[in-house]
Amino acid sequence: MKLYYRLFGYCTVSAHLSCAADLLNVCMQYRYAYRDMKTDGEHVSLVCTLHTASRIKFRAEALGIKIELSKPRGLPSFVWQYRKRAGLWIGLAAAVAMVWLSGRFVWDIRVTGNESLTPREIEEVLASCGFSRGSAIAGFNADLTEARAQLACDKLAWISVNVKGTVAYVEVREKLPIDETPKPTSPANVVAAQSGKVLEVIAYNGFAMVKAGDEVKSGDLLISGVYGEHTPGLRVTRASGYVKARTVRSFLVEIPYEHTEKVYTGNKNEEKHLNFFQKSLKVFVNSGNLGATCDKIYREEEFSFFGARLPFSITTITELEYQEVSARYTEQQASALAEERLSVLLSTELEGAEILSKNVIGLAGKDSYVLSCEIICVEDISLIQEFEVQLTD
Amino acid sequence: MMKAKKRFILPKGGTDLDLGADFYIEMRGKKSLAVYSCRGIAEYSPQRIVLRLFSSKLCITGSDLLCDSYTNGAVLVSGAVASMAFTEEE
Repeated sequence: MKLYYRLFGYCTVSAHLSCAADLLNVCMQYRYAYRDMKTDGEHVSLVCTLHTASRIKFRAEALGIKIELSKPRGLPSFVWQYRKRAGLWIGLAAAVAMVWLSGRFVWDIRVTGNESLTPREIEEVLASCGFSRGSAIAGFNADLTEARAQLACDKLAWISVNVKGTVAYVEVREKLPIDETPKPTSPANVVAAQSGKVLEVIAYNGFAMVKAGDEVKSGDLLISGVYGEHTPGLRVTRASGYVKARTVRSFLVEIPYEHTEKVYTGNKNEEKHLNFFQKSLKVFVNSGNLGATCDKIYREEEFSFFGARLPFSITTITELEYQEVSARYTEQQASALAEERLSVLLSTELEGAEILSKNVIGLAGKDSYVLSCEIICVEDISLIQEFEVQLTD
Repeated sequence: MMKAKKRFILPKGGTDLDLGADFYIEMRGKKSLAVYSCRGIAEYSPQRIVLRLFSSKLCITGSDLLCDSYTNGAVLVSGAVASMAFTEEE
């Protein structure tokens, strides 16, 4: 009831105590509702709505009862008091409009169930289907969007989009990867990839041509894919196997002292863009003339409010000017760089090999630093080499 | 200035509380009472309220008496009630 009074306005009706009975009879006769009756020994007062107060005053004064009305209170008097403050009313209307409008668009998209696909990739798939942050909720068709998204992305086995309030909850299930590469069936031999001394031969398919203890050179036949030299007719197959051999490998890394490196001049340009839903507005530009060579850095900063992502972000594009200048490594720098490159080379070339010994020699020349490395290791030297079979009459 | 406390909740609008010739009084302790089938208030003061019933008058005496609610046919009186007396209608 208090809210009702405040919304429609209220005031206090006062009369002398001698007129209290007549005043109450007027209220009873015409069914005027009141509340908070009080008396101070000389006067009696009631609280009622502005409309009721005006009616009581009219009726009471017709009966000769002197009535006093207090200053009106509540929303109508507040509006009347600030009626000339246009900014207040415009701001209030704008706030109401913004609250109403904000509930009609998608503010955030939350993705669950993804494994190899990132949430941003899924959002991009949905955006290509016409659904993204800033899309109107009224025109959203879940079935159509889900069907389009599945067709647009091959990795999706199933997708579900549910809009609750202004947040779209997207649940996905990805397809399991299946290796569809057809296995080769053409005939092949196994040859030696490196020279060395054979330690062990395991032929999965084909006929082993070497045994443990044999010395082989690079390219020698280890496991043959041709059967039946001693029987009428030949058979061919795709040879495969594992041939472990002890090999000696040599590696060379050369680092020239003279080189060019990138040096930033300190000149830069910066642009800031305010992104609101799918719209972008340039808000800050610090431009100038930069050289031909620049690095361009994109940085996007998103905002959240108590864990909920807000529909606006700031993108900063920074261009940094640089120049390529000549420089010279010191011997120590060249040595360290050469060792680093050698380490990378060894990890690539000798993957799976067992290193028995390693001898590294560094030589500082006039123009470059050379690092040579000799390694004795045990590794699999088998290499598949396909061949063609031609039928003759 | 004292503030009245509601003791009864009378039925909302639309209910005819006028019981005709039979008046009906509900009293809760000595702090509040409701009188149904009341024709009007003949006299009011914080110490004495006279209610006009169908063929008689009800005089309520006490202190800090207030008419919290006064709808058609029913009046709700709160305050410290000392006595009630019926008098014939003049």
